[in-house]
Amino acid sequence: MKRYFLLVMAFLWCGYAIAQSQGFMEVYRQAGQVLKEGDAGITTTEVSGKMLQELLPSKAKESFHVVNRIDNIRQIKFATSSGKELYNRIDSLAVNGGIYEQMSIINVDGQRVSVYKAPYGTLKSEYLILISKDDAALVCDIVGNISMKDIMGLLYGKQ
Amino acid sequence: MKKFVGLLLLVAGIFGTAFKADAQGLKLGIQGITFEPDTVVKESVNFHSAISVKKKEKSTALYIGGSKRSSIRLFEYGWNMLDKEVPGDWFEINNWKSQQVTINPFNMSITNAKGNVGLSMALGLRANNFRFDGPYTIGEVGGVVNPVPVEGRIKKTKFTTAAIHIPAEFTIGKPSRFAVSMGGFADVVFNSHTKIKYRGGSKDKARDFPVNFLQYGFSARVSCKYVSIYCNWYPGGLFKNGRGPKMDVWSIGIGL
Repeated sequence: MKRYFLLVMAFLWCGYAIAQSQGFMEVYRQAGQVLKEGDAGITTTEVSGKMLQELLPSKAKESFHVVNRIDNIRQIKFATSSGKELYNRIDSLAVNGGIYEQMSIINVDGQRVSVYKAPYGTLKSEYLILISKDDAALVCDIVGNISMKDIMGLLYGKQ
Repeated sequence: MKKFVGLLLLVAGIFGTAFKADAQGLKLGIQGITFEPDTVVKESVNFHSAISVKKKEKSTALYIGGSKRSSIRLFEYGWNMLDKEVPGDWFEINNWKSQQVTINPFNMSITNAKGNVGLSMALGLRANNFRFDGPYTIGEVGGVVNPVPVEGRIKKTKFTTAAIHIPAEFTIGKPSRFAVSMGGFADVVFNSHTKIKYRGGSKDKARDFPVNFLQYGFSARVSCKYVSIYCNWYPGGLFKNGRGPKMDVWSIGIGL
């Protein structure tokens, strides 16, 4: 029975793993590896769309709310400059990788925010958001039926 | 089962969750995706889970909302019929042309979490028209409503009441899909008048008839995809006791 559950979980894991672009996923897995090795400066986070709906039940009732349109969010948080190399790899992937299209570079509350977009499926999009402030940095990759307006709403806390 | 849940958590690698069920909004910043509850405290989510373990909880909360979960519709259009206490009594009307028009701009619903059982209430305006089926109108003779013949070339002759309409219905099902409702209503009549239209354009009006100030009734409704068919029954009668013909008013209509 245990074996069956492990297989199901492995299958689900694979299903999730193909959500973001391959380049991002490579860096994300590497960040996960660094995390396992005990680097306190790096944190990886993953939130599924369903989890968002569970966390925000009042928003999930609105059928067109962004929590109902996000498939998955993966993010890597760099608390110190120790993970600079990984951050630079993603930055380079976004700018030179040929997958992402740069949408905007903005300043929000003193944070430098770069937003990149890549197609995902037929109707959906992938947004790669790089946020940096002083030594801290964050890379967030969101996939789903979302638009730039939704991303702006998230950045300005209007969701 | 405990082992299974434990295994799930272990494999999924949930490092920690810090969130509140009543979180109110999402924000993306240097701290990552944060949930902002009503309080000032911001709590960040910090977990690494590909599989969410969903625990189903029965919600006993009541939801107060507007017309979305209400069976009472904004606009209702129906036809009036009379059930006279004395068969053959005067006050013959043309049912097809005796219309009931209701507008409910204020709508409220109280439902369970699923939205399949609830109470719908509204506040609106209702006009009941009774189109006479002969060349007569009504007039007060000695304080009692009596038929008054009309001479000339009549285009139409009718009696109308206008009221503030306050309905309340108990609903089973979802009006957005399929629902059945039963309830009642109270109409506070603020105007009653007759109107005679002659061929050629001239009109005659008479006001303030001894109608019941508060007219109450019962209603039944079947809703499907926000379109409903309703039936109303006014058992209290149209006119005050002893001041006019005794009758119950029935109406059938559609709500949109």
